[in-house]
Amino acid sequence: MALAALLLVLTLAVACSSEERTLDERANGLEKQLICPVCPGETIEQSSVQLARDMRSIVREKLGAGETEQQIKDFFVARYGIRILASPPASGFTLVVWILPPFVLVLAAGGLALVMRDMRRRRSAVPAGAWDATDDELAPYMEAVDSELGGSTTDGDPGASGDPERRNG
Amino acid sequence: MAQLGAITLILGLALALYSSVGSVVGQRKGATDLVVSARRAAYLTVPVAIAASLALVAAFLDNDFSIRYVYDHSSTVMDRAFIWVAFYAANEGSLLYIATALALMSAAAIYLSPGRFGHALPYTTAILMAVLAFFFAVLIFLANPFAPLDFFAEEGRGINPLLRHPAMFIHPPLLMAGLVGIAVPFSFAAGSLIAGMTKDEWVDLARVSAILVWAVLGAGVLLGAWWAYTILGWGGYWAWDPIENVAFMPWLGLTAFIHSVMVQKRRGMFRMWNIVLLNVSFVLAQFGMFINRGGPVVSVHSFGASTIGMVFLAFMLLSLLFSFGVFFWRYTMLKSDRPLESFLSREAAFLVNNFLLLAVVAATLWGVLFPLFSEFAQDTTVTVATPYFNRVNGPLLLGLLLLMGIGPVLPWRRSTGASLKRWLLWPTLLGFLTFLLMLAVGIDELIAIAAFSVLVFVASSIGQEWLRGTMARRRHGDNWASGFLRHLNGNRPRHGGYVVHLAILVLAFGVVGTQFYDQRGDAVLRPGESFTIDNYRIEFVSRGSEERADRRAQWANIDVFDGDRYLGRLRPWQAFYPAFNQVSVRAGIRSTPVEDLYIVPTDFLDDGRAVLRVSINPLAWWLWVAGPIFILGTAIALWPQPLVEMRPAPVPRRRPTAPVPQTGS
Repeated sequence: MALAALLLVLTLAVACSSEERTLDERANGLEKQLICPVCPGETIEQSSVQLARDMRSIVREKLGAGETEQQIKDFFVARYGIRILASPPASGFTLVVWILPPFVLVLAAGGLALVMRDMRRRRSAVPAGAWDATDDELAPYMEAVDSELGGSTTDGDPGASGDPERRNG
Repeated sequence: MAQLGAITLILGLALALYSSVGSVVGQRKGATDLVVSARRAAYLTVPVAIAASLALVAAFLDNDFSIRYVYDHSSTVMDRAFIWVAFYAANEGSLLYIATALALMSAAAIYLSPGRFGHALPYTTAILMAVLAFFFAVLIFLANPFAPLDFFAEEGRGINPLLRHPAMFIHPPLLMAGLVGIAVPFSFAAGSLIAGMTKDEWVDLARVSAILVWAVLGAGVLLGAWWAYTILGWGGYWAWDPIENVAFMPWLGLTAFIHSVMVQKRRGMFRMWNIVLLNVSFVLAQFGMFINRGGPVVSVHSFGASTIGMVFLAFMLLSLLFSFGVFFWRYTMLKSDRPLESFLSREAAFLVNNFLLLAVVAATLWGVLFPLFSEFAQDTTVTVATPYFNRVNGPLLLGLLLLMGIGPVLPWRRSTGASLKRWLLWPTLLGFLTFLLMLAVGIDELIAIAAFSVLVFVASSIGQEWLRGTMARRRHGDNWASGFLRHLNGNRPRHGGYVVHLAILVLAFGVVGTQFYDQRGDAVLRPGESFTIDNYRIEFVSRGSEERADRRAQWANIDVFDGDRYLGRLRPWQAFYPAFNQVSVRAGIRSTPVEDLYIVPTDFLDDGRAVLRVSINPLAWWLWVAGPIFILGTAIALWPQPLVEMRPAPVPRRRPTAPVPQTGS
């Protein structure tokens, strides 16, 4: 039931978000993807030099004339080379930029899952009670908290009173 | 003055070297006298470094243009207050500042370390002093701030116009101190490893010093963003520029450490991992220094190319070898036999937090390095800028935010379904409610809505814990206010952490607003004409100009209306500095919690028109509010604790009944 509601909401959301974007919004979006050639590191959307201003008006002109975003990008790449793009295209050699992070992320996540599973397995190898040392160490603190709270930490929070350690230990 | 300065630098190098070598030799040979004398030498580097700094300040005050550094960064017409900024305006002075800061921090760290850290202290001292010796050596041989000017000058060039901003008085010092300060927690950990300490004596020391350094670095980064927002004139505050990234990465590394060290403190786990995190942070800090000082990456605000880049690269590699060398040498000592009991425990949450933080570090590093890699492998110049970082880091950062609402309410060791429901039900409901409400109201940008919902989820998770804690106190006779304060006081590291989390939420609120809902427009206006953006009408009234000795300033007087309602006058200006052939702008900003109206005058045309870049940056106000909250949270977390909480029974530990090979505890 809840899941169905969630699905409905998501479909609705997608439907709502696909409405027409204005020329200004599209232009702003594209300007954020083009680097100003004379000011390293700044996009034409950010830069205030003449060239960036000119490029911005070209972008608006071409969008108004019905060109696609890709066509406009290609126009600038033909003139200034690939470095004009604020992020490299996801094709050819520069695809590596985009592929590597998710790839490594998934690999590392797998590694982490294995390590955690391994750490959990060791649990059965250690005799019960062996790791209760922590509770002993913390005992004075727990007692202090208990007395401060008037002996009842059952309604306390998970950290401040440390009661889950007690409850679970 | 120049001679005095040069002499103090040499003295500093000698003392640092003596202290470093003497500490190790003395400790190895059991010569206590030598160890003590080496420690005193470390203390002595403080007055020596301060003397060198004062010599440079005196040269600035005297307008001693026979010194190149003073000539390059000062002039007689410069406001005297800017000597403070001019001091670290370039390589030479900033390195002197770094050496002074490191000397101070090292001495404080050595002085404040408790007696039980005793036989590891000489190694810690040795590492700190070796780093300090490196900086003194660079100052003497490669970047001497007292080097003479090779021609005669009556007047200096003055200070770089981009540095004339209040944030410049604090941002660079904090950032540099933060970066170099990572050496302190690192050397506590490495020192105790070298000494073969099997106990966790270093943990509290490294934790407290890491939090301090982390707060300093974080405040420095945020102030840098504020500076960029008001003076660089692009309406942004963060560009994922290499220089920003190299300060951000060690901060992330430290963030991971100060979280995961809690697991070691409370549960004796993650020993190896915490060392790795400190090593990574330390090496990343050296990487930052390298990129800052003549690294190979293009950036908006670096110190400019210089030959000392290579020296810093070598130092970074040396740091890498040393830190991981020590780690692998002492690897077996670090084993911990405590098992992870459940995936639904705070330990596991900390692991995931570390994983995400390091993923952001790795993705960012990859983005910084890829242009070099591409240039080298393919001979094509590519740009890896904001779109890459936003797309790759955005989801990871959102994941971290989400975790912020879950991790802290998970109990240590394992949690039950009941406790999950108890702590997560309301925040989840509120988060979903926000999502639906924002959709219903018709707000666009689905990702932004999801992000706002996560913010509400986390905020209500924190709020819920505070509310329940306060109510528990209330039942024991406190009123709301005192109950809340006493609840916070009950576990300051934890609640300080919550306050820092709130600061991050506030920051994220501003980031989402500015990233997803900003609007920009260009306007070319004659006096009397106006321009409309969103609900604002901007009327260009007149322009003004002023000639100063060092600059020609021009500004636009602009009246801002909301419809017909007059909101106020903005006066954005720009100034041209002939000595630097550089234009500096100051944006006109009308800031409200809802949105900033941000106007930059990009040009004043000869025919009287003004070219304006007008932006609306929603929620930008919240970015800067986050700063004080962040500092407040750190202060609460670090406020000295009642002894019983800080040191859970340090000496004779009760051994568990079962014979467990607890090499580490």
